[in-house]
Amino acid sequence: MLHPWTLLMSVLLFSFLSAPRGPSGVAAPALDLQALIRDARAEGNLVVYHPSSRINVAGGIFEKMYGIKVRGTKMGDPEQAERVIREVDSGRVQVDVIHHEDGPFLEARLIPRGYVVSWIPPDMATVIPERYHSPLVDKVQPRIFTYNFETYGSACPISNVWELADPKWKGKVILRDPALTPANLAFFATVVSSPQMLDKAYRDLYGKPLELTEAPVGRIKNAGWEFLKRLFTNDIVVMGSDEDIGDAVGAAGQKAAPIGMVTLTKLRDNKAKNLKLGTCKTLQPFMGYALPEYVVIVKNAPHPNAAKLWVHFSLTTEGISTWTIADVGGFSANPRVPTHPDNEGTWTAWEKRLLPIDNKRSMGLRQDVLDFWLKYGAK
Amino acid sequence: MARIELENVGKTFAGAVAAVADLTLSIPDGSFITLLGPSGCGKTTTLRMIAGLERPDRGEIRLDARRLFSERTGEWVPPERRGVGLVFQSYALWPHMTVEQNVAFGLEMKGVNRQERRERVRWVFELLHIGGLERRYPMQLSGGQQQRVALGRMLAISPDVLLLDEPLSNLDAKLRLETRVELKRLHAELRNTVVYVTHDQLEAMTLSTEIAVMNQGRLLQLAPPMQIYQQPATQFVAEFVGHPPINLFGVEERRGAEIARSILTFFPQLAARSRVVGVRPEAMVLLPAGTVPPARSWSHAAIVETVLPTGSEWIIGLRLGDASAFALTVDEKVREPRQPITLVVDLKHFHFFDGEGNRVD
Amino acid sequence: MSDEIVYKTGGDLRLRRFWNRTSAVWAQPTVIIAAVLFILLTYLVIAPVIALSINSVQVGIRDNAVIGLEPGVFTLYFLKRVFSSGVSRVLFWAPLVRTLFVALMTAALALPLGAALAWLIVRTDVPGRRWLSSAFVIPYILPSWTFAVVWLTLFKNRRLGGLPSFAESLGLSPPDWLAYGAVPIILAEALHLFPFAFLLFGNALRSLDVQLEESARVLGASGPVVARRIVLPLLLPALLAALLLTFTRVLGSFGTPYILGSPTRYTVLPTALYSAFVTGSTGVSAVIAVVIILIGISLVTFDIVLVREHRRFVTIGGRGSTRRLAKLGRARTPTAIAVNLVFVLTTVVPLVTLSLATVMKRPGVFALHNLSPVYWLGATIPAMPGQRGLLLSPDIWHAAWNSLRVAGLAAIFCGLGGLFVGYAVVRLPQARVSRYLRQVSFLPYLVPSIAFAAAYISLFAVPRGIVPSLYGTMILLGLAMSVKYLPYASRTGISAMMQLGNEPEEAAQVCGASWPKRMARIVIPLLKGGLMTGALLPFITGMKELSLVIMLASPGTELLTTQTLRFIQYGYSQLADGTVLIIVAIVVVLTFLAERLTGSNLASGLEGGA
Repeated sequence: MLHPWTLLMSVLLFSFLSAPRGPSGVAAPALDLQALIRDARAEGNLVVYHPSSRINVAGGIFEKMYGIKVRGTKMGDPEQAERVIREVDSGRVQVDVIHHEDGPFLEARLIPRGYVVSWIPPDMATVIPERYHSPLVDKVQPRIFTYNFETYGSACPISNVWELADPKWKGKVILRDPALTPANLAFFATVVSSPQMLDKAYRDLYGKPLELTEAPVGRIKNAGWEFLKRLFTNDIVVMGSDEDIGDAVGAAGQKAAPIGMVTLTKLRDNKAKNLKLGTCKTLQPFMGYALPEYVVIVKNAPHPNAAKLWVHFSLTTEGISTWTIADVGGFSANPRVPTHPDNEGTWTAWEKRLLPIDNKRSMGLRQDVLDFWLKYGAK
Repeated sequence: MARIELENVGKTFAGAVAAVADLTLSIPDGSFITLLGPSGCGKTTTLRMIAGLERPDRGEIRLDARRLFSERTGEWVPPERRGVGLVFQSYALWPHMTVEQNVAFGLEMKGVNRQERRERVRWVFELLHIGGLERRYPMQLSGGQQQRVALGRMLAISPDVLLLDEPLSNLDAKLRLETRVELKRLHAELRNTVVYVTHDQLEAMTLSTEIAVMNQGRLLQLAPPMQIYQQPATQFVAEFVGHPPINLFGVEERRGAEIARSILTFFPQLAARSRVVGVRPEAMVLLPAGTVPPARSWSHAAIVETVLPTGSEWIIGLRLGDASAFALTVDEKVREPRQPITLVVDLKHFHFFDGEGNRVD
Repeated sequence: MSDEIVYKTGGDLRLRRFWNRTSAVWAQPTVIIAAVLFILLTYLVIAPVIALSINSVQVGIRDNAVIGLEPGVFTLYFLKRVFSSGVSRVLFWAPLVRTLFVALMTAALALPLGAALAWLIVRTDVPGRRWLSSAFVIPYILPSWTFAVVWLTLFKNRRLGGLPSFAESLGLSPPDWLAYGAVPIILAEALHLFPFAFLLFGNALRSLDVQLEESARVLGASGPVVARRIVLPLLLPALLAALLLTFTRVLGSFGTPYILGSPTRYTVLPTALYSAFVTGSTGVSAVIAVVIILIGISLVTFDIVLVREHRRFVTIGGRGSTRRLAKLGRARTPTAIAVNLVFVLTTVVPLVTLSLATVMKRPGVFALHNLSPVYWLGATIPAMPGQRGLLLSPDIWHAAWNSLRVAGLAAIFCGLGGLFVGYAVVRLPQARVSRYLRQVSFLPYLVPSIAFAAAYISLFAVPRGIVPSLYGTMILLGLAMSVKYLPYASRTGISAMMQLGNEPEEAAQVCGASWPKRMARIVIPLLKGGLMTGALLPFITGMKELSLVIMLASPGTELLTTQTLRFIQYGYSQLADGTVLIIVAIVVVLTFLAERLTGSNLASGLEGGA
């Protein structure tokens, strides 16, 4: 039914429209805080994409301190990446700063290709531990398995991660959708990269060697892939936000509450929503993973000075307090910032119980992990 | 002064045969000329080319000394600057304007001032006897009233040339006659050049100073009405004008050849060129069977087949051997089906056409 | 004078003739309009689809991160991934099968329901027929995913977490199959789409010449025989049109399957496209979008062929007034109750549920202490950090303003587009160009919304020659909406121009009116009614559009509908419910005003697509 003209125009347009693109990098000058504040004020506004809805609270503090209005939007990593790339490519950048949790993508693509710049204020270079410099981390938090203490009492009903893949917990383990939460993909990739740990845990739990059944094409079978396969096929439940998982796990009055993986910060809802969330402190060989939150400035940001000021602000007590002091769960990358009393220990103590994510290695495994998830988890 | 000249004008629509082919026509000032022909003969296209709504492919159109279109020089005057009036078959009154606004529109476009406009509109309403309808909308008018308003809308701008495209075809029979009278009166009064398109021969005959009969994009004959009727230039013209239609007998036809040959024996000097003989129904005199025909006439035995009374006259269907024919008569005597009669035609009433359909004299 | 010299040779004359004719063609306003439309529509309709097709075989920057090929490189990787790889079942085949299943089941529910109601209201003496005939259009006027939001509020279970549903508060725990996935999606789509069948069948029944049935009766056919042999075959075109409309709607519907399918990962093609898009698989999403477009086009082509077969039978006119209504007799009251119950279920229950949900602290707990205006008027809301009551929220006001602006832009564009497309298509002497314009202006109708948005991103996300990038602008939203809805307006425009004919304009022309005057004084005033409908329909549809804008809206250009989805994603269900109510209120008021203004039944324009 298409007209010949339609076809002709199609051919003509085809040649015109196939055009790729590519941006480049930016350098960082030295810091004069007073000058920065002045210049930032002249810009008047700031736009931030952030994984947490409390960005508006932090924005309010910033506005009070510097008189610069912050328009913060809660936004997940994939959408952030999508928007930043589109905005930079289109030459119509609207956002200044992003707080991003997809470290692998940030390191492998966004920074090398110049979409964002990791900038550490010179005065903070000596304060922030070096491992958080590049890309700059403003806060870290544990994303851990939690249970309902009203249902199960003071101790987590599981002590070994392999129990999550056990039929006993079929349909009762909740995770963030890995397809929409790249940090979880990175976590799975790290699991795949730690086969000895999982192999040992299996033998500890069941007292017999683990039988390996499958790995993606081109990968070697190991205890990590096996764990993922059994976890995914155990009718795993996925949700879109930690909010929902926390509610599902922690809601009062449940007979058979599920286990769910959320950031430690959800423990605040024990008060706000009368939840009964408890952490699986004794879970072996890990309670979850360490989730760094990176703060980077977008290329050609419309308010570059306000953006720098915001980055500086994020490394100070005022700037990070919304997540680390006002509420439980977050740890500032700045060791001088005090931590919340309910944090169940210092970050150093936490780190020992968490899988650390290797950004570079996890990027290389991402496609396979995602496909493995799609194959077994997404049904 | 408004004399229209069409010179070798041609127009072909995309992917079709020529709507108008090489038409040359001169329309004198003050004449009432009718373009007559069956639908699709190119008469409306011709009218629209004069109005400028259709752009010819070739030739030249002139209005007096002004070239409206010329293929040669590329000259082209768009319709809004031609100063001709056109009344559409559908009237095309603007339904969102009152009658008065419809009539005043053209004057407004000409930039005529309010005062003059009002006078002019009043004149039109008086001329057409439609006073009192000013504030009505077209939808609230009868067909006849709409027709007058459509006419008035064009008359208001006092066009040198008034073009009418089948303006009576949407009216009932009684109204049609009245309007014909009216149009004739208006033409007599206003004396502008009128080009009138119709496929109705009666309208053409009664209204025109001259009739241009067209078929398949060509002009077949341009002549005063009675000449068209009495001396049709072609077989097509003869057939198209006249009701009931002319009776034709072809020398080479399967039926009627015998009749044709019998007639042609009276015209030895024409017999060689003629292929068809025609005689109008009213020229057929029906006499009792066996009557001896008068001198200088042709006669033939016939049988009455059908009798169709119209009120004032009878249309009689006849059988002549293997041919059939219609006669028109006011004679009450012959009207029984299956009645044998003698058919008599005065020799001066025959028409002859050659193989191409052209008149043979 | 100089003519003779210049035109002596035949070659010169031919050239001159050619030049004369060409310049004459280009001097016509119609031709200029057509040329502008030709370029504009080609760029706005054809180009995006081509850009999308290119994206399906070209590596994007985010794809590059996972597959390692340089951005911009051409590859068949995505085609392979979607159609034949270890994950193609999850990415494509399963969603395809589900889409077709949902579409079929929706049609199987919506068509009989719509047809039965149409018959009851047109042909029987069921009480309240006048009122019901407009009442049954309301479900279609509501945003398509209203029912989905309502369903979650009523029936969601612990799988989704968050606040309890009404059912849970009553101590029930709805099973997954009831709360999410195919069953509620089909129900929600059917409840939204049955008005199509209702309108199409109703109109077909009304225009059916009663003499056709009477003739059969006179020849000795009984009632059922007349129904089977005469009425049904004549209603076949309406049936096909309703079937097609339902099918294409489901094919392009994003909101309902997203809201109800996500919890159990019941993915259909539009949601598969969306999740591929948000997870950065531009290539995969482009492939899926192209497939959706192809299905859309083939469905309509199929329908055109079928309908052409059957159009021969369609009779127009007839003396409907002489028809006697079937007496329901003793069944009259029960029927009336049943019919009104449908209205209650499809309109009253959803709206009341939403309203209640927004004033209850804990959904479904019917107690005075549980009522709270906080979600409408709170300065802060417990457990929703950074949120304010809807009426105080600058985000909502901003989104509402954006929605009005975008829909307004679409309305203006469509109104003008309808006028000019209609004018050019009907008046242009060049039949081929005219046909091209008609087809291209209709093409957006065949492209399901979400795929259309994907195509727009492909084309407009980067600068192309003199066209700057429109990513993240209101203009992009407005443009996509305008072009997507253009078919409604251009159809109205074309049919209005056809009805008008050339003569009123030609009459003005011979009266001496120049082109601008003719347009201003004759054409536009006469087309006004049609143009208003052609503009208002996009405006109202635009206010509730989700599928088209979900991928195009960004934080600065959030619309009411995308804001609703954000609330759902955050788990702020009361705010989502409240925003839906705001949209419903705006749309219903607008529809009412529009009908008053144009004196027309807007609902009758809805079926214009078929």
